[in-house]
Amino acid sequence: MQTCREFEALLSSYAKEELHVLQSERVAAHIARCEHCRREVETYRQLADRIRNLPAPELPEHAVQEFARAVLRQIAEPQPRRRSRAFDFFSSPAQQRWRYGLAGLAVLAFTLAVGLWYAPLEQKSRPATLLAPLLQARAWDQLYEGLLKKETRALLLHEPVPTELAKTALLDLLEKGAHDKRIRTGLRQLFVSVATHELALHEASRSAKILGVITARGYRPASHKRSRGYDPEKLLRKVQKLPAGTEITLAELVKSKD
Amino acid sequence: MSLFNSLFRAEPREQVLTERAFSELVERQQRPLLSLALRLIGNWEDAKDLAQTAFVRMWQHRQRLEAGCDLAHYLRRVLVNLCIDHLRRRGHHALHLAFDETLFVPADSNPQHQLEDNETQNRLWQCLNALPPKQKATLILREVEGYSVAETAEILSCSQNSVLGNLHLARKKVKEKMQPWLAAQE
Repeated sequence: MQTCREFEALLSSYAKEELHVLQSERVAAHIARCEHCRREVETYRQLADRIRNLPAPELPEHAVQEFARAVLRQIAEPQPRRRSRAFDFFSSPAQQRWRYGLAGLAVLAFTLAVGLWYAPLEQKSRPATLLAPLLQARAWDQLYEGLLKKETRALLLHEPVPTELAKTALLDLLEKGAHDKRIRTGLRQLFVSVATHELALHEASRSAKILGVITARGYRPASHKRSRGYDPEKLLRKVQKLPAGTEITLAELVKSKD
Repeated sequence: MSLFNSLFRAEPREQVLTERAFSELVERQQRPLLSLALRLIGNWEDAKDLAQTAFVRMWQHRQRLEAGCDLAHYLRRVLVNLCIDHLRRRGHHALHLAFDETLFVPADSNPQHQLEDNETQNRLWQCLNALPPKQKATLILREVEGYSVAETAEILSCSQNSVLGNLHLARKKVKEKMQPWLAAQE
């Protein structure tokens, strides 16, 4: 037998005859023997009557007339056109000229922005003067810092310098490096940095592994095939083989075969 | 007509609502619509604005109306949705502050009956105004406006089961609040 709780949700709908026939019959059978639920149904009926008999609002006659006039006046006014429609862009000839002008300006601004954005990349092919002064001044610390920075790394690696300058600089580096611990450390860091960049460009997946070998074994990772090219003595041999008067970049030097 | 035209260019739709028909519709529907808005919102200024918006919105979207659709139902659907949004935005709990009971005056001329009725009705309005907007709209459409469950569901754009559920919750809340009052009167 079903309890009052199970009928609770149906009583208000039963009072308003909103239930299906079968549900209605079940509720009727229940309330025939349940005094509590019968009273509930009666309360719902009374409430429904009271809600239905709530007085209608009094509408002032003049306000209703004014309302109708206001509605008709509002629809008679031209509605502001929606700017989101694609064809509105070409609507009025007077506005069209302005829009073409603005569109031209926008294209110009976009071109300028793209030009400025790619300007540093174009400098790679132009003879820059960043690496040469550093090599001349033997400013290894600054060169190392420059190679670490993303903004200047590409410029330093791809700036062509005379082979003579590269040769003297490398000789100087190797000679001093034999005695000066700071330069020796700098030298190692310089070539690790070059190696990192080159490997990141060509073989990103293996770079971390090779870099691990390089940093663990110092600046001469002779045991690893791919890192032999970064041995400064080999770099020097490579430079010495080059004909005098030519130019080479750091990247080409590292990548070229011995 | 060429094949292209027959395939890709729709026939111009028959105008469902002309300006004259709209004017007649405003004349015919303004009172019931204003009454409904007043019952839901409770103050003349907001009710008037919302009813006006409903009419204007129907006029703006007249191209979408299909031939044979019930314009009165369409108007009510727009208005009820506007009222529900309005109540939700304002917070329906604050409704009693803006609700003007003096707009709803009983027709009975006996002063004693009028006083009793006024008290009961004010209490009933308080209970109705405390309901969530959707439940209040459902109850008013069904009990006061006299729409069937199916028509209420159509106006509220929901299922009949949802209407029955909302009706049950609304009636239960009103009964719980009104029961002591009704018992004391008896």
